[in-house]
Amino acid sequence: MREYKLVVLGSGGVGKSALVCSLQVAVQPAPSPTHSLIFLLQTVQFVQSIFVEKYDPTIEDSYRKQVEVDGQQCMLEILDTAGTEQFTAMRDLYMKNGQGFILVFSITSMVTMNDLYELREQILRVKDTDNVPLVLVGNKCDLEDERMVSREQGMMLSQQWGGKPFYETSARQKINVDEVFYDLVRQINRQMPARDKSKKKFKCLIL
Amino acid sequence: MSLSYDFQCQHYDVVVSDRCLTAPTHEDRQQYQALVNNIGDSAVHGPYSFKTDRVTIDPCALPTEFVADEERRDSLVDELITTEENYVSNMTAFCDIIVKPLRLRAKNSKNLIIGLYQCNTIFNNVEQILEVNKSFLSELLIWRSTREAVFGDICAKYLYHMECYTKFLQGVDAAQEINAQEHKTNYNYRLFLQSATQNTRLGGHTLYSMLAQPGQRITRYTMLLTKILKHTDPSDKNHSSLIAALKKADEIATLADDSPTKLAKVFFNMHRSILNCPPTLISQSRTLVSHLDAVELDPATLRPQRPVTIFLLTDKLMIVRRPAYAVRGLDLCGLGNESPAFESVLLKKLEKNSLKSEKQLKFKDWINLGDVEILQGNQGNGQ
Repeated sequence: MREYKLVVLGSGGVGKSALVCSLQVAVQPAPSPTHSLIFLLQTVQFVQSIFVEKYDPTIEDSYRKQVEVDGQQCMLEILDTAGTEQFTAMRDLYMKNGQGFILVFSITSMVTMNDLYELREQILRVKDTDNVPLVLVGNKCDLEDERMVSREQGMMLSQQWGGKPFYETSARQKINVDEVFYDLVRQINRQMPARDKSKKKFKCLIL
Repeated sequence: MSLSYDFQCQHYDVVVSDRCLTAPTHEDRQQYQALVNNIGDSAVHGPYSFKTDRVTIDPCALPTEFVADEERRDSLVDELITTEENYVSNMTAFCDIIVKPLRLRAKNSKNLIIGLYQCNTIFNNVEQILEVNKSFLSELLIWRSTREAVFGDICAKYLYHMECYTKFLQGVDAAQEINAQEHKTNYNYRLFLQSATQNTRLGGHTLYSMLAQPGQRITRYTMLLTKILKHTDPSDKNHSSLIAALKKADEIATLADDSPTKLAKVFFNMHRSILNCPPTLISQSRTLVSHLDAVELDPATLRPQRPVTIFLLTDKLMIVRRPAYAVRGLDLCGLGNESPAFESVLLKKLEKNSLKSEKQLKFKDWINLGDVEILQGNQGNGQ
């Protein structure tokens, strides 16, 4: 099974961790009701008090999730970078090993979108290429009343970045979360096709 | 710090050792706090940054807004302890199931899966890290049941012990690389990891994610301590030690080198990227003061001849040729950017010789500062 190393980046409080755990809940339901509460993790509580009540700190910071994309089983290894907002060197470490990137802003704050310019620059620099599998995500789309970034602004930015996909998501209401991860997996597949192992190399044996 | 008294119109600079701010003992910190209170802490600045050429205002030294919320504070403290428990149990499982067996077998050439060098590069000082966190956890648990010690003091003490994280974090990049390489080429290694990660104690973690955990833990400390501090009364006995703990966590997460390493790095990068640069440039007794992208003029006609960059060192003035007017000298020698990754990209290019010599800086000459004569040109074009 092919493994994908994905990295979720964005300013503090945009819902990075919520997004990751939202995928987890969507793909693999928790075995028991108590466990289903566990998936809200560390940073979520800093984001919204509504999440806090269900918060349980027995959580890990990286996630392995098996998902099916286009009939292929994929193992996603997702690194949540919460807390690295002000540490450039630390982010470098995550970026170097990442194959695909999810850049998250909150539609309720323009600043969080502006922060992504610098993050993207850093990714391109670290990966030393202009084309990196990447998805732009405007999270918290359930908070329509507090919207500060229009959908068009998000679209425009994604076009500026060479037509990268843009999704508006709600980690809380699980809107579009899976699509973000699937899209990223497809991009990686397109850019780095798996080596076809079915083709065997036949060697000529001379006796 | 500088303080000014209007009636005197005289500025004083008071330089305080960084150690004072993060002093491990309560008394030292109180003394420092008293000094800061006397002169007003809006005057406190953080360390001078060589690269940005500015003094940064240290966020830790700025007073944080206190919000009284005992319940929230308790839950944050509880979170720190609970997540510490999980982290220690994860790391213990990692050391028991993966690190120890591989290290043991590396010592025996008949039995080895990966060699000693690979072992040391991948696992580095992870056992040392585990020991610190184990002790930290056990003191936290004692504190939780007895409430005798000061919570902030425990955090400060152990974050000081966590300096060993720096070594691990600086090597983790190479660790991931060797891990990936071995994973690709070494069948036994792959097999070993496959069966090891089946162990339920590891909770489905791979080596890749285990190596990422110490870095993630350090940034969790900065997040949690900041939040705990917000709900800690500044007059509380925990307050100053929590600041010290946060400052230390911040320092570790910044992955900053100590000053001799920084100095060596600057000159090493210059030496590597400037063609014909004399190796004697690398010395701990000099520092780079400033640089200037300039244009060399013909002395007779004053017409521009070629782009140069002048580096002012504490004892010498070095002149190098810049390949084009439009490029910045600092960018070409790996100093133009704060990001360490950028440096490594540049070095990789140099290694591969993909940076052509006509795109490189080229050493022209250097002279001792004592021999420099400054002339004022006719039209003010001093050279």
